[in-house]
Amino acid sequence: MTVRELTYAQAIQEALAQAMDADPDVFLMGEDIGVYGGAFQVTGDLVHRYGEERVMDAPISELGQAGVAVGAALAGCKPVLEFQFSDFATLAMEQIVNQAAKLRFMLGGKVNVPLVMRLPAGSGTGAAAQHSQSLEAWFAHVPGLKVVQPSTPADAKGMLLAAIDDPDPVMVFEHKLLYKMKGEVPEQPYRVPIGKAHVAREGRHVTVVATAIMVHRALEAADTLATEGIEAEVIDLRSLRPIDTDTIVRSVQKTTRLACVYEGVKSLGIGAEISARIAESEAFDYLDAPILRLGGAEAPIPYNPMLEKAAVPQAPDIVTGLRNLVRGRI
Amino acid sequence: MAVEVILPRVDMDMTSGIISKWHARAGDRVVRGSALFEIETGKASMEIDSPADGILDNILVVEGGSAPVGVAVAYILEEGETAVQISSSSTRTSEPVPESARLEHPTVTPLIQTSIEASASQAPRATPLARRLAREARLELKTISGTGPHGRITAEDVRGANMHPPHSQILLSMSMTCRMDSLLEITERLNAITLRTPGGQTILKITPEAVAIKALALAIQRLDHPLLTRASIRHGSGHILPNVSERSLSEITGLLETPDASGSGTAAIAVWPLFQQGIEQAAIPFTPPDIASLTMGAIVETFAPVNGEPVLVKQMICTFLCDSRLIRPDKATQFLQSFRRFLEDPVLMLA
Repeated sequence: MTVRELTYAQAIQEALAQAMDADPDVFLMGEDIGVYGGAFQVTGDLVHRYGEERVMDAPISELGQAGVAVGAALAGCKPVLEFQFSDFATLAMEQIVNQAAKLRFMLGGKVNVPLVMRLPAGSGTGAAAQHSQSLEAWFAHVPGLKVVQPSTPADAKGMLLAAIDDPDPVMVFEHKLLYKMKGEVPEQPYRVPIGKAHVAREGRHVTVVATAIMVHRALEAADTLATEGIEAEVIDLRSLRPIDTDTIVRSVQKTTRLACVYEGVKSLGIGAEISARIAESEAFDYLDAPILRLGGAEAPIPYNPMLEKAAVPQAPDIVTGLRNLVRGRI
Repeated sequence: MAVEVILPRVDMDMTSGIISKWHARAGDRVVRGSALFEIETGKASMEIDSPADGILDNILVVEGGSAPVGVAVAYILEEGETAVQISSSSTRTSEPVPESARLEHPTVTPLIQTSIEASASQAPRATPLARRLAREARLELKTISGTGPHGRITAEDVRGANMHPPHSQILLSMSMTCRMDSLLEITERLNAITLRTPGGQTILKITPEAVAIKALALAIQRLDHPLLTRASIRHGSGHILPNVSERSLSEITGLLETPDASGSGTAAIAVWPLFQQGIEQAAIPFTPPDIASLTMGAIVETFAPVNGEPVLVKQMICTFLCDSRLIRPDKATQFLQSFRRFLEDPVLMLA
């Protein structure tokens, strides 16, 4: 299998092209994804390669787009809907939460909604409060949806292809700061299973469960801590629904300490869910320190660049937090 | 609510600190983040900031006095809050200290007693892992002092407590005769061929001791004791043999030949292979942190009945000595049996 370096955005584009090559039912829809190439240049020149019928520019109405996509999915198509910013999914709540997530259950399994939603998320681009949120935990609360957060170009491709194969609605949250990140990506189509976490770095002193851009910040923090003799095990959660509890439980049993690092608002978020799962699991008896959550500030993401940075965990915050946890200061 | 002023751990090895100076007196208004007191450790002195805004009260440790890490050395009260409320809510005595007691003793002495008594009667703070280890090692949490924040007992404290048992050990001794023919035969067969590593080095000749110690490592794995890890075999009264279960026989032979000071402070089983020394049976004592010893006596040739006929065999008597509170007799029996299985038929170690 040929492996090359691609950016995260290129890896997604390659997955979209391969899915459209393999299945005529796959089509793309979203604001400015045609000739403009997408707000983050993910779809690029796909409109020239696959035509306007399969790479459809949509009017600025997220609720309308989602309604069309859910209807097309019910009718047997496999739509991939791009929200220009994940924040705008709030406009399409009715279709996502009340329709896409529910229909298979309410119709006794006689229909499926094989819909994929792609959602650029997260802060760090100076796009302020309405374009910088991390709302993935909201949607992960809804049974009937699958919610994933690939953190590398290889996973971005493999998880998107797995999402397109999936018979149920899948929301793929893509952190905007990752689009330009490069990484090795196999050329052939392949799938990365939804619902499996990945141990991105092995360690024995503390388990760090991180998502999206925080995986990379946690890895950076782990490098720094390694020079002090602290070995952090970094788990890339990858999938919020379903959550791979087993991988985290096994790791905590080994390390005896748990930290959760995520960009969404700290309270009532991913960290709360993971902490609770560990407290409920057989790993509880292995905890030798309180559980640490590092999450976004309890505030909208500020426009001021200094404040924007301060509003979400950065590598030095993770270093300090983990150091205090392992050194028994918390 | 009153805020506890905690003596923090500012140094990894620190278990207590001396308060060299208070920057405020009882009754003074203090501001969160401003220097409140100075502590002296073995290495340095350091200023500690106030954890809250409010009125400093109930200074429990005077200048020059010392306190263990994690305990409250004073309280910061909100406006209008009184010390009596602290003794009833924050330290959770069963009955509130009467107002009169406080008034009769305006000094800090009665409050210190109250807080010590109160903490002694409460369930101790401990991490879930520490609780599990204490439960499995049959240690009472009350007898263990915690070094974590707020005096919390951690796994390390439980392991450390085991190094200094509060009561004398209750020793259990068990002996077992083992057939050594297979082990010696396998050792001879392996040594008959000159093995080389992929790098071209000649591999050390292996000794029967190395094979026996590997058998012990695998038996320890089966025992799955909470205080024993992969580095839990001590060579006699000397060094710890690390990760024996994962090493080759020649590597173990090498480990036995090279003394190394590592591994003090680890709970282990001390092993005494006395195959050549002519001592047939002994129960050599062990000292904490070790929790057991295994003495293997001389290998002797003797006639043993096999299918009713006398057969010349090689035998060895091994004696296991342990603290029966840490390894119960049934567990010790299982352990010795699995050790003997590996020893008498070393091929099982490959399974």
